[in-house]
Amino acid sequence: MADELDRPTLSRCRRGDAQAFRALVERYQDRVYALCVALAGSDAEDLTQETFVRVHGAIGSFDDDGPAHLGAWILTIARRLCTDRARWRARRPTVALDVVALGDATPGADAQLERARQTRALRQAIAELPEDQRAVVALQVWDGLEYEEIAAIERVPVGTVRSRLARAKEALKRALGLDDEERNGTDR
Amino acid sequence: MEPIDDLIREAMPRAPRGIADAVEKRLATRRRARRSLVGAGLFVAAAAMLVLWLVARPARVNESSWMAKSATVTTIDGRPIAIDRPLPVGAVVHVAGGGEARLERPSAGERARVQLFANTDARVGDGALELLTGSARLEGPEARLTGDVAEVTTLGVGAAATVELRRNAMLNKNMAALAALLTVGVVDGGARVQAKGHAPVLLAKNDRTMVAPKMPPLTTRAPAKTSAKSPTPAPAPAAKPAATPTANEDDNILDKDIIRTTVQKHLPEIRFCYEQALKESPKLGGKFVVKFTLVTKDGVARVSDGEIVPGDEGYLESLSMQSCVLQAFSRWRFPPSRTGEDVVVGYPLVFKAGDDEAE
Repeated sequence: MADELDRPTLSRCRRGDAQAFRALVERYQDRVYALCVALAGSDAEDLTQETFVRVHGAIGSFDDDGPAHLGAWILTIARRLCTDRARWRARRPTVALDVVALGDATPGADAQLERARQTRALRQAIAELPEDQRAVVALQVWDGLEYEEIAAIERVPVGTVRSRLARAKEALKRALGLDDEERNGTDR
Repeated sequence: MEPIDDLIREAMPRAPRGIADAVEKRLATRRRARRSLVGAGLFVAAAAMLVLWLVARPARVNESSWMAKSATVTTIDGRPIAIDRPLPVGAVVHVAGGGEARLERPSAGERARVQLFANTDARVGDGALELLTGSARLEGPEARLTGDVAEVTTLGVGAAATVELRRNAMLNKNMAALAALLTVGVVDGGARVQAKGHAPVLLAKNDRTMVAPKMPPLTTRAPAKTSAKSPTPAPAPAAKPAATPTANEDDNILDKDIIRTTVQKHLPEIRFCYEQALKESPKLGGKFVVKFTLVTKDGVARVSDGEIVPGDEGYLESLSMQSCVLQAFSRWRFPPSRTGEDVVVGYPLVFKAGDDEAE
Protein backbone atom coordinates (compact mmCIF):
# COMPACT_ATOMS: atom_id res chain seq x y z
CA MET A 1 0.00 0.00 0.00
CA ALA A 2 1.39 3.33 -1.01
CA ASP A 3 2.01 6.31 1.24
CA GLU A 4 2.45 4.41 4.52
CA LEU A 5 3.47 6.11 7.74
CA ASP A 6 7.21 6.03 8.35
CA ARG A 7 8.55 3.81 11.09
CA PRO A 8 9.95 6.54 13.35
CA THR A 9 6.56 8.25 13.49
CA LEU A 10 4.92 4.91 14.15
CA SER A 11 7.37 4.28 17.01
CA ARG A 12 6.56 7.68 18.50
CA CYS A 13 2.86 6.83 18.24
CA ARG A 14 3.50 3.71 20.26
CA ARG A 15 5.23 5.80 22.94
CA GLY A 16 2.15 8.02 23.21
CA ASP A 17 3.44 10.98 21.24
CA ALA A 18 0.35 13.07 20.47
CA GLN A 19 1.93 14.89 17.53
CA ALA A 20 2.93 11.62 15.89
CA PHE A 21 -0.56 10.22 16.35
CA ARG A 22 -2.02 13.35 14.82
CA ALA A 23 0.23 12.74 11.80
CA LEU A 24 -1.08 9.18 11.61
CA VAL A 25 -4.69 10.37 11.66
CA GLU A 26 -4.06 12.91 8.95
CA ARG A 27 -2.24 10.31 6.87
CA TYR A 28 -5.10 7.77 6.88
CA GLN A 29 -8.24 9.77 7.52
CA ASP A 30 -9.34 10.08 3.86
CA ARG A 31 -9.05 6.35 3.22
CA VAL A 32 -10.85 5.44 6.39
CA TYR A 33 -13.52 8.01 5.73
CA ALA A 34 -14.07 6.79 2.14
CA LEU A 35 -14.54 3.22 3.34
CA CYS A 36 -16.95 4.39 6.04
CA VAL A 37 -18.90 6.44 3.52
CA ALA A 38 -19.23 3.40 1.28
CA LEU A 39 -20.36 1.19 4.14
CA ALA A 40 -22.08 3.48 6.63
CA GLY A 41 -23.11 6.63 4.75
CA SER A 42 -24.07 9.39 7.15
CA ASP A 43 -22.32 7.68 10.05
CA ALA A 44 -19.00 7.90 8.24
CA GLU A 45 -17.53 10.85 10.15
CA ASP A 46 -18.41 9.40 13.53
CA LEU A 47 -17.06 5.99 12.54
CA THR A 48 -13.86 7.53 11.18
CA GLN A 49 -13.21 9.26 14.52
CA GLU A 50 -14.04 6.10 16.42
CA THR A 51 -11.70 4.09 14.20
CA PHE A 52 -8.76 6.30 15.17
CA VAL A 53 -9.72 6.17 18.85
CA ARG A 54 -9.53 2.37 18.59
CA VAL A 55 -6.28 2.61 16.68
CA HIS A 56 -4.86 4.78 19.49
CA GLY A 57 -5.77 2.15 22.03
CA ALA A 58 -4.37 -0.74 20.00
CA ILE A 59 -1.37 0.78 18.28
CA GLY A 60 0.93 -0.87 20.78
CA SER A 61 -0.17 -4.29 19.55
CA PHE A 62 0.40 -3.55 15.87
CA ASP A 63 3.26 -5.61 14.46
CA ASP A 64 4.90 -3.60 11.70
CA ASP A 65 6.81 -6.73 10.67
CA GLY A 66 3.58 -8.67 10.35
CA PRO A 67 1.69 -9.49 7.15
CA ALA A 68 -0.55 -6.41 7.17
CA HIS A 69 0.54 -2.88 6.40
CA LEU A 70 -0.46 -0.25 8.91
CA GLY A 71 -3.05 1.09 6.45
CA ALA A 72 -4.64 -2.32 5.94
CA TRP A 73 -4.65 -2.84 9.73
CA ILE A 74 -6.42 0.48 10.28
CA LEU A 75 -8.93 -0.26 7.50
CA THR A 76 -9.62 -3.64 9.08
CA ILE A 77 -10.60 -1.84 12.28
CA ALA A 78 -12.77 0.57 10.30
CA ARG A 79 -14.42 -2.29 8.43
CA ARG A 80 -15.32 -4.05 11.70
CA LEU A 81 -16.76 -0.89 13.17
CA CYS A 82 -18.83 -0.31 10.02
CA THR A 83 -20.13 -3.87 10.16
CA ASP A 84 -21.07 -3.46 13.82
CA ARG A 85 -22.78 -0.18 13.13
CA ALA A 86 -24.66 -1.72 10.19
CA ARG A 87 -25.93 -4.46 12.50
CA TRP A 88 -26.93 -1.85 15.03
CA ARG A 89 -28.78 0.03 12.32
CA ALA A 90 -30.33 -3.12 10.92
CA ARG A 91 -33.63 -1.33 10.58
CA ARG A 92 -32.04 1.33 8.39
CA PRO A 93 -30.42 -0.65 5.57
CA THR A 94 -30.38 2.20 3.10
CA VAL A 95 -27.10 4.09 3.01
CA ALA A 96 -27.62 7.80 2.51
CA LEU A 97 -24.52 8.21 0.40
CA ASP A 98 -25.79 11.34 -1.30
CA VAL A 99 -25.57 13.49 1.84
CA VAL A 100 -21.82 13.15 2.01
CA ALA A 101 -19.81 16.04 0.63
CA LEU A 102 -17.45 15.08 -2.09
CA GLY A 103 -13.97 16.17 -2.86
CA ASP A 104 -12.38 19.06 -4.74
CA ALA A 105 -14.34 21.24 -7.01
CA THR A 106 -13.19 21.25 -10.58
CA PRO A 107 -12.66 24.32 -12.75
CA GLY A 108 -14.89 25.06 -15.68
CA ALA A 109 -18.61 25.47 -15.17
CA ASP A 110 -19.79 22.95 -17.73
CA ALA A 111 -17.18 20.39 -16.90
CA GLN A 112 -17.88 20.92 -13.21
CA LEU A 113 -21.59 20.42 -13.68
CA GLU A 114 -21.09 17.36 -15.82
CA ARG A 115 -18.55 15.92 -13.37
CA ALA A 116 -20.89 16.62 -10.47
CA ARG A 117 -23.79 14.97 -12.25
CA GLN A 118 -21.69 11.94 -13.04
CA THR A 119 -20.34 11.77 -9.53
CA ARG A 120 -23.81 11.93 -8.01
CA ALA A 121 -24.96 9.19 -10.36
CA LEU A 122 -21.94 7.08 -9.45
CA ARG A 123 -22.43 7.62 -5.70
CA GLN A 124 -26.01 6.62 -6.05
CA ALA A 125 -25.01 3.54 -7.98
CA ILE A 126 -22.41 2.57 -5.36
CA ALA A 127 -24.95 3.04 -2.62
CA GLU A 128 -27.25 0.62 -4.33
CA LEU A 129 -24.60 -2.11 -4.52
CA PRO A 130 -24.69 -4.96 -2.02
CA GLU A 131 -22.53 -4.28 1.04
CA ASP A 132 -19.82 -6.81 0.18
CA GLN A 133 -19.40 -5.25 -3.27
CA ARG A 134 -19.32 -1.73 -1.84
CA ALA A 135 -16.59 -2.82 0.50
CA VAL A 136 -14.32 -4.29 -2.18
CA VAL A 137 -14.85 -1.26 -4.43
CA ALA A 138 -13.85 1.13 -1.66
CA LEU A 139 -10.91 -0.97 -0.52
CA GLN A 140 -9.57 -1.59 -3.98
CA VAL A 141 -10.22 1.68 -5.80
CA TRP A 142 -10.28 4.27 -3.03
CA ASP A 143 -7.90 2.70 -0.55
CA GLY A 144 -5.54 1.05 -3.06
CA LEU A 145 -5.30 -2.30 -1.30
CA GLU A 146 -4.11 -5.43 -3.04
CA TYR A 147 -6.53 -8.28 -3.61
CA GLU A 148 -4.79 -10.32 -0.96
CA GLU A 149 -5.17 -7.54 1.58
CA ILE A 150 -8.83 -7.12 0.71
CA ALA A 151 -9.33 -10.86 1.00
CA ALA A 152 -7.79 -10.76 4.49
CA ILE A 153 -10.03 -7.92 5.60
CA GLU A 154 -13.16 -9.44 4.10
CA ARG A 155 -12.14 -12.94 5.24
CA VAL A 156 -12.91 -14.42 1.82
CA PRO A 157 -10.71 -16.03 -0.85
CA VAL A 158 -8.98 -13.77 -3.35
CA GLY A 159 -11.13 -15.24 -6.12
CA THR A 160 -14.23 -14.07 -4.31
CA VAL A 161 -12.77 -10.58 -4.08
CA ARG A 162 -12.13 -10.57 -7.79
CA SER A 163 -15.62 -11.77 -8.65
CA ARG A 164 -17.27 -9.26 -6.27
CA LEU A 165 -15.23 -6.47 -7.75
CA ALA A 166 -16.08 -7.52 -11.26
CA ARG A 167 -19.77 -7.71 -10.49
CA ALA A 168 -19.66 -4.33 -8.78
CA LYS A 169 -17.99 -2.63 -11.69
CA GLU A 170 -20.40 -4.18 -14.16
CA ALA A 171 -23.29 -2.89 -12.09
CA LEU A 172 -21.79 0.57 -11.93
CA LYS A 173 -21.21 0.63 -15.66
CA ARG A 174 -24.78 -0.36 -16.23
CA ALA A 175 -25.98 2.31 -13.89
CA LEU A 176 -23.94 4.95 -15.69
CA GLY A 177 -24.78 3.63 -19.16
CA LEU A 178 -21.15 2.86 -19.84
CA ASP A 179 -21.85 -0.74 -20.84
CA ASP A 180 -23.99 0.50 -23.79
CA GLU A 181 -21.18 2.73 -24.94
CA GLU A 182 -18.75 -0.17 -24.75
CA ARG A 183 -21.13 -2.44 -26.56
CA ASN A 184 -21.73 0.15 -29.26
CA GLY A 185 -18.00 0.72 -29.60
CA THR A 186 -17.45 -2.98 -29.99
CA ASP A 187 -20.25 -3.24 -32.49
CA ARG A 188 -18.69 -0.53 -34.50
CA MET B 1 -7.12 0.13 -15.67
CA GLU B 2 -10.70 0.48 -16.76
CA PRO B 3 -12.35 3.91 -17.31
CA ILE B 4 -14.80 3.05 -14.55
CA ASP B 5 -11.89 2.91 -12.09
CA ASP B 6 -11.03 6.52 -12.84
CA LEU B 7 -14.62 7.57 -12.37
CA ILE B 8 -14.87 5.76 -9.05
CA ARG B 9 -11.56 7.18 -7.91
CA GLU B 10 -12.67 10.70 -8.76
CA ALA B 11 -15.83 10.14 -6.73
CA MET B 12 -13.81 9.21 -3.62
CA PRO B 13 -15.12 11.24 -0.70
CA ARG B 14 -12.58 13.27 1.30
CA ALA B 15 -12.60 13.40 5.05
CA PRO B 16 -14.01 16.63 6.41
CA ARG B 17 -11.70 18.97 8.27
CA GLY B 18 -11.19 18.53 11.94
CA ILE B 19 -11.09 14.72 12.14
CA ALA B 20 -7.74 14.81 13.98
CA ASP B 21 -9.02 17.46 16.45
CA ALA B 22 -12.18 15.48 17.04
CA VAL B 23 -10.18 12.32 17.66
CA GLU B 24 -7.96 14.15 20.20
CA LYS B 25 -11.06 15.45 21.93
CA ARG B 26 -12.57 11.97 22.13
CA LEU B 27 -9.34 10.56 23.50
CA ALA B 28 -9.16 13.27 26.16
CA THR B 29 -12.77 12.67 27.15
CA ARG B 30 -12.19 8.95 27.47
CA ARG B 31 -9.04 9.47 29.51
CA ARG B 32 -11.00 11.62 31.94
CA ALA B 33 -13.81 9.07 32.07
CA ARG B 34 -11.31 6.28 32.64
CA ARG B 35 -9.65 8.23 35.44
CA SER B 36 -13.04 8.86 37.04
CA LEU B 37 -13.94 5.23 36.63
CA VAL B 38 -10.66 4.14 38.14
CA GLY B 39 -11.16 6.58 41.02
CA ALA B 40 -14.69 5.37 41.59
CA GLY B 41 -13.53 1.78 41.31
CA LEU B 42 -10.77 2.36 43.83
CA PHE B 43 -13.22 4.05 46.16
CA VAL B 44 -15.71 1.21 45.86
CA ALA B 45 -12.95 -1.36 46.28
CA ALA B 46 -11.60 0.44 49.34
CA ALA B 47 -15.09 0.70 50.82
CA ALA B 48 -15.74 -2.97 50.11
CA MET B 49 -12.44 -3.97 51.69
CA LEU B 50 -13.22 -1.85 54.73
CA VAL B 51 -16.61 -3.49 55.10
CA LEU B 52 -15.08 -6.94 54.65
CA TRP B 53 -12.41 -6.13 57.19
CA LEU B 54 -14.96 -4.90 59.69
CA VAL B 55 -17.09 -7.98 59.17
CA ALA B 56 -14.36 -10.57 58.98
CA ARG B 57 -11.82 -9.25 61.45
CA PRO B 58 -11.31 -11.57 64.35
CA ALA B 59 -13.08 -10.49 67.49
CA ARG B 60 -10.61 -8.71 69.71
CA VAL B 61 -10.25 -10.52 72.96
CA ASN B 62 -9.89 -7.93 75.67
CA GLU B 63 -8.13 -9.46 78.63
CA SER B 64 -9.12 -8.40 82.11
CA SER B 65 -6.87 -8.13 85.13
CA TRP B 66 -8.70 -11.03 86.75
CA MET B 67 -7.08 -14.45 86.92
CA ALA B 68 -8.35 -17.71 88.29
CA LYS B 69 -6.05 -19.00 91.03
CA SER B 70 -7.99 -22.18 91.64
CA ALA B 71 -11.25 -23.61 90.41
CA THR B 72 -13.26 -26.78 90.67
CA VAL B 73 -16.30 -27.66 88.58
CA THR B 74 -15.98 -24.25 86.96
CA THR B 75 -16.26 -23.20 83.33
CA ILE B 76 -15.85 -19.92 81.50
CA ASP B 77 -18.18 -19.41 78.55
CA GLY B 78 -18.77 -23.14 78.61
CA ARG B 79 -15.09 -24.09 78.38
CA PRO B 80 -12.75 -25.21 81.12
CA ILE B 81 -11.27 -22.25 82.94
CA ALA B 82 -7.51 -21.76 82.72
CA ILE B 83 -5.55 -21.14 85.90
CA ASP B 84 -3.21 -18.14 86.19
CA ARG B 85 -4.28 -16.83 82.80
CA PRO B 86 -6.05 -13.46 82.34
CA LEU B 87 -9.78 -13.92 81.96
CA PRO B 88 -11.37 -12.29 78.92
CA VAL B 89 -13.65 -9.35 79.54
CA GLY B 90 -17.28 -10.26 79.05
CA ALA B 91 -16.85 -13.98 79.66
CA VAL B 92 -19.18 -15.66 82.14
CA VAL B 93 -17.68 -17.79 84.88
CA HIS B 94 -20.05 -20.55 85.93
CA VAL B 95 -19.45 -22.46 89.13
CA ALA B 96 -21.60 -25.57 89.16
CA GLY B 97 -22.95 -27.34 92.21
CA GLY B 98 -20.20 -28.57 94.49
CA GLY B 99 -17.67 -26.29 92.84
CA GLU B 100 -15.74 -23.24 93.87
CA ALA B 101 -13.53 -20.69 92.12
CA ARG B 102 -11.00 -18.24 93.50
CA LEU B 103 -10.27 -15.24 91.34
CA GLU B 104 -7.94 -12.37 92.06
CA ARG B 105 -6.54 -9.22 90.57
CA PRO B 106 -4.00 -6.61 91.63
CA SER B 107 -5.49 -3.76 93.63
CA ALA B 108 -3.80 -0.93 95.51
CA GLY B 109 -0.56 -2.87 95.77
CA GLU B 110 -2.43 -5.82 97.25
CA ARG B 111 -4.57 -8.55 95.80
CA ALA B 112 -8.35 -8.21 95.55
CA ARG B 113 -9.84 -11.67 95.77
CA VAL B 114 -13.27 -13.01 94.98
CA GLN B 115 -14.32 -16.48 95.94
CA LEU B 116 -17.28 -17.74 93.94
CA PHE B 117 -19.30 -20.44 95.60
CA ALA B 118 -21.34 -23.25 94.07
CA ASN B 119 -24.19 -22.42 91.71
CA THR B 120 -22.84 -19.00 90.93
CA ASP B 121 -22.56 -17.11 87.66
CA ALA B 122 -20.39 -14.02 87.31
CA ARG B 123 -19.40 -12.00 84.25
CA VAL B 124 -15.82 -10.79 84.03
CA GLY B 125 -15.37 -7.04 83.83
CA ASP B 126 -12.11 -5.17 83.55
CA GLY B 127 -12.15 -3.94 87.13
CA ALA B 128 -15.08 -5.72 88.70
CA LEU B 129 -16.97 -8.96 88.48
CA GLU B 130 -20.65 -8.75 87.75
CA LEU B 131 -22.54 -11.16 89.98
CA LEU B 132 -25.37 -12.60 87.92
CA THR B 133 -26.62 -15.03 90.50
CA GLY B 134 -25.27 -17.02 93.43
CA SER B 135 -22.92 -16.14 96.26
CA ALA B 136 -19.41 -14.92 96.70
CA ARG B 137 -16.91 -13.72 99.24
CA LEU B 138 -14.87 -10.59 98.65
CA GLU B 139 -11.48 -10.09 100.26
CA GLY B 140 -8.85 -7.41 100.12
CA PRO B 141 -8.87 -3.77 99.19
CA GLU B 142 -11.49 -2.79 96.68
CA ALA B 143 -12.64 -6.22 95.74
CA ARG B 144 -15.71 -5.30 93.79
CA LEU B 145 -18.88 -6.98 92.58
CA THR B 146 -21.33 -5.16 90.37
CA GLY B 147 -24.75 -6.18 89.17
CA ASP B 148 -28.17 -4.96 88.21
CA VAL B 149 -29.15 -4.54 91.85
CA ALA B 150 -26.18 -2.90 93.53
CA GLU B 151 -22.42 -2.53 93.54
CA VAL B 152 -20.45 -3.86 96.49
CA THR B 153 -16.88 -2.80 97.23
CA THR B 154 -14.77 -3.90 100.14
CA LEU B 155 -12.90 -1.17 101.98
CA GLY B 156 -9.52 -1.76 103.58
CA VAL B 157 -6.65 -4.18 103.11
CA GLY B 158 -8.08 -6.80 105.45
CA ALA B 159 -11.69 -6.30 104.45
CA ALA B 160 -13.94 -9.27 103.77
CA ALA B 161 -17.61 -9.45 102.89
CA THR B 162 -20.09 -12.04 101.78
CA VAL B 163 -22.50 -11.32 98.97
CA GLU B 164 -25.47 -13.35 97.93
CA LEU B 165 -27.78 -12.64 95.01
CA ARG B 166 -30.97 -14.62 94.83
CA ARG B 167 -33.26 -14.37 91.88
CA ASN B 168 -36.82 -15.49 91.56
CA ALA B 169 -37.39 -16.25 87.91
CA MET B 170 -41.09 -16.83 88.50
CA LEU B 171 -41.74 -13.17 89.14
CA ASN B 172 -42.29 -10.73 86.30
CA LYS B 173 -40.93 -7.22 86.11
CA ASN B 174 -44.04 -5.76 87.69
CA MET B 175 -42.84 -7.41 90.86
CA ALA B 176 -39.27 -6.32 90.31
CA ALA B 177 -38.77 -5.55 93.98
CA LEU B 178 -39.18 -9.20 94.78
CA ALA B 179 -37.45 -10.61 91.70
CA ALA B 180 -33.96 -10.26 93.15
CA LEU B 181 -32.48 -9.82 96.57
CA LEU B 182 -28.87 -8.97 97.21
CA THR B 183 -27.61 -9.59 100.73
CA VAL B 184 -24.29 -8.21 101.88
CA GLY B 185 -22.64 -9.03 105.17
CA VAL B 186 -19.35 -7.55 106.30
CA VAL B 187 -17.06 -10.11 107.89
CA ASP B 188 -14.15 -7.81 108.47
CA GLY B 189 -13.18 -4.25 107.69
CA GLY B 190 -15.81 -2.31 105.82
CA ALA B 191 -17.79 -2.27 102.65
CA ARG B 192 -19.64 0.15 100.50
CA VAL B 193 -22.96 -0.82 98.95
CA GLN B 194 -24.33 1.34 96.19
CA ALA B 195 -27.90 0.44 95.29
CA LYS B 196 -29.14 1.79 92.00
CA GLY B 197 -30.94 5.08 92.52
CA HIS B 198 -30.02 5.37 96.19
CA ALA B 199 -27.27 6.89 98.28
CA PRO B 200 -24.36 4.55 99.05
CA VAL B 201 -24.42 2.72 102.37
CA LEU B 202 -21.19 2.26 104.31
CA LEU B 203 -21.07 -0.92 106.35
CA ALA B 204 -18.80 -1.80 109.23
CA LYS B 205 -17.84 -5.19 110.53
CA ASN B 206 -20.88 -7.44 111.17
CA ASP B 207 -23.24 -4.96 109.50
CA ARG B 208 -25.60 -6.34 106.96
CA THR B 209 -27.72 -4.86 104.23
CA MET B 210 -30.26 -6.15 101.81
CA VAL B 211 -31.00 -4.57 98.47
CA ALA B 212 -33.96 -5.31 96.25
CA PRO B 213 -34.66 -3.54 92.96
CA LYS B 214 -36.57 -0.27 93.33
CA MET B 215 -36.25 -0.42 97.10
CA PRO B 216 -33.93 1.48 99.44
CA PRO B 217 -31.22 -0.66 101.06
CA LEU B 218 -32.32 -2.20 104.33
CA THR B 219 -29.43 -2.12 106.71
CA THR B 220 -28.87 -4.04 109.92
CA ARG B 221 -26.18 -2.58 112.16
CA ALA B 222 -24.02 -4.81 114.26
CA PRO B 223 -24.75 -4.66 117.99
CA ALA B 224 -22.46 -2.42 119.96
CA LYS B 225 -19.95 -4.28 122.08
CA THR B 226 -20.69 -2.18 125.11
CA SER B 227 -24.39 -2.26 125.50
CA ALA B 228 -25.53 1.02 127.02
CA LYS B 229 -28.85 1.25 128.65
CA SER B 230 -31.32 2.46 126.13
CA PRO B 231 -33.66 5.31 126.95
CA THR B 232 -36.34 3.19 125.42
CA PRO B 233 -39.20 2.55 127.77
CA ALA B 234 -40.02 -1.00 128.61
CA PRO B 235 -42.06 -2.82 126.00
CA ALA B 236 -45.74 -3.08 126.50
CA PRO B 237 -47.21 -6.18 128.03
CA ALA B 238 -47.15 -9.16 125.75
CA ALA B 239 -50.89 -9.53 125.76
CA LYS B 240 -51.26 -6.05 124.43
CA PRO B 241 -49.09 -5.40 121.40
CA ALA B 242 -47.95 -1.85 121.77
CA ALA B 243 -44.58 -1.21 120.30
CA THR B 244 -43.45 2.22 121.34
CA PRO B 245 -41.50 4.64 119.22
CA THR B 246 -38.61 5.69 121.35
CA ALA B 247 -36.14 7.57 119.27
CA ASN B 248 -38.19 10.31 117.83
CA GLU B 249 -35.82 13.20 117.35
CA ASP B 250 -38.40 15.84 117.88
CA ASP B 251 -41.61 15.15 119.71
CA ASN B 252 -42.90 18.55 118.76
CA ILE B 253 -43.13 17.88 115.08
CA LEU B 254 -44.52 14.33 115.07
CA ASP B 255 -46.57 12.77 117.76
CA LYS B 256 -45.36 9.36 118.97
CA ASP B 257 -48.95 8.23 119.21
CA ILE B 258 -49.52 8.91 115.56
CA ILE B 259 -46.61 6.64 114.67
CA ARG B 260 -47.73 4.02 117.13
CA THR B 261 -51.25 4.08 115.69
CA THR B 262 -49.97 3.58 112.17
CA VAL B 263 -47.70 0.72 113.19
CA GLN B 264 -50.43 -0.98 115.17
CA LYS B 265 -52.74 -0.69 112.21
CA HIS B 266 -50.22 -2.70 110.21
CA LEU B 267 -49.16 -5.02 113.03
CA PRO B 268 -50.51 -8.13 111.25
CA GLU B 269 -47.84 -7.59 108.58
CA ILE B 270 -45.13 -7.62 111.24
CA ARG B 271 -46.66 -10.67 112.78
CA PHE B 272 -46.65 -12.37 109.40
CA CYS B 273 -42.90 -11.73 109.09
CA TYR B 274 -42.33 -13.26 112.50
CA GLU B 275 -44.48 -16.27 111.73
CA GLN B 276 -42.53 -16.92 108.58
CA ALA B 277 -39.28 -16.74 110.49
CA LEU B 278 -40.64 -19.07 113.17
CA LYS B 279 -41.17 -21.73 110.54
CA GLU B 280 -37.39 -21.89 110.13
CA SER B 281 -36.46 -21.26 113.74
CA PRO B 282 -39.34 -22.16 116.09
CA LYS B 283 -37.60 -20.70 119.11
CA LEU B 284 -36.76 -17.39 117.49
CA GLY B 285 -37.29 -14.38 119.63
CA GLY B 286 -35.73 -11.10 120.67
CA LYS B 287 -35.65 -7.38 119.97
CA PHE B 288 -34.49 -4.90 117.43
CA VAL B 289 -35.13 -1.31 116.56
CA VAL B 290 -36.39 -0.22 113.20
CA LYS B 291 -34.71 3.06 112.51
CA PHE B 292 -36.04 5.13 109.64
CA THR B 293 -36.62 8.61 108.37
CA LEU B 294 -40.12 9.83 107.64
CA VAL B 295 -40.07 12.11 104.63
CA THR B 296 -43.15 14.25 104.12
CA LYS B 297 -44.17 14.93 100.59
CA ASP B 298 -47.53 15.78 99.02
CA GLY B 299 -49.23 15.65 102.41
CA VAL B 300 -48.07 12.18 103.36
CA ALA B 301 -44.97 10.83 105.11
CA ARG B 302 -43.14 7.78 103.85
CA VAL B 303 -40.27 5.71 105.19
CA SER B 304 -36.85 6.36 103.79
CA ASP B 305 -33.43 4.89 104.63
CA GLY B 306 -34.77 2.21 106.93
CA GLU B 307 -32.34 0.05 108.84
CA ILE B 308 -32.36 -2.41 111.70
CA VAL B 309 -30.28 -1.60 114.72
CA PRO B 310 -29.89 -3.88 117.72
CA GLY B 311 -31.68 -3.09 120.87
CA ASP B 312 -29.95 -3.01 124.21
CA GLU B 313 -30.32 -6.73 124.68
CA GLY B 314 -31.83 -9.87 123.15
CA TYR B 315 -30.99 -8.93 119.60
CA LEU B 316 -33.12 -10.85 117.09
CA GLU B 317 -30.71 -11.57 114.26
CA SER B 318 -32.89 -13.21 111.61
CA LEU B 319 -31.87 -11.50 108.41
CA SER B 320 -34.88 -12.63 106.42
CA MET B 321 -37.25 -11.44 109.08
CA GLN B 322 -35.52 -8.09 109.40
CA SER B 323 -35.82 -7.68 105.66
CA CYS B 324 -39.50 -8.55 105.77
CA VAL B 325 -40.14 -6.01 108.52
CA LEU B 326 -38.21 -3.26 106.78
CA GLN B 327 -40.08 -3.87 103.57
CA ALA B 328 -43.36 -3.68 105.44
CA PHE B 329 -42.40 -0.34 107.02
CA SER B 330 -41.41 1.03 103.64
CA ARG B 331 -44.87 0.32 102.25
CA TRP B 332 -46.77 2.23 104.87
CA ARG B 333 -48.01 5.82 104.77
CA PHE B 334 -47.76 7.99 107.88
CA PRO B 335 -49.43 11.31 108.66
CA PRO B 336 -47.22 14.28 107.69
CA SER B 337 -45.02 15.97 110.22
CA ARG B 338 -46.32 19.24 111.60
CA THR B 339 -43.61 21.34 109.99
CA GLY B 340 -43.15 19.29 106.82
CA GLU B 341 -39.57 18.48 107.87
CA ASP B 342 -38.05 15.01 107.80
CA VAL B 343 -38.28 13.11 111.08
CA VAL B 344 -35.93 10.37 112.26
CA VAL B 345 -37.73 7.63 114.12
CA GLY B 346 -36.54 4.62 116.12
CA TYR B 347 -39.23 2.07 116.73
CA PRO B 348 -38.43 -0.86 119.02
CA LEU B 349 -40.04 -4.19 118.34
CA VAL B 350 -40.06 -7.15 120.73
CA PHE B 351 -40.76 -10.63 119.41
CA LYS B 352 -41.60 -13.53 121.59
CA ALA B 353 -42.99 -16.90 120.56
CA GLY B 354 -46.38 -17.45 122.09
CA ASP B 355 -49.79 -15.90 121.71
CA ASP B 356 -48.53 -12.43 120.89
CA GLU B 357 -45.35 -12.23 118.96
CA ALA B 358 -44.71 -8.61 118.35
CA GLU B 359 -44.86 -5.84 120.85
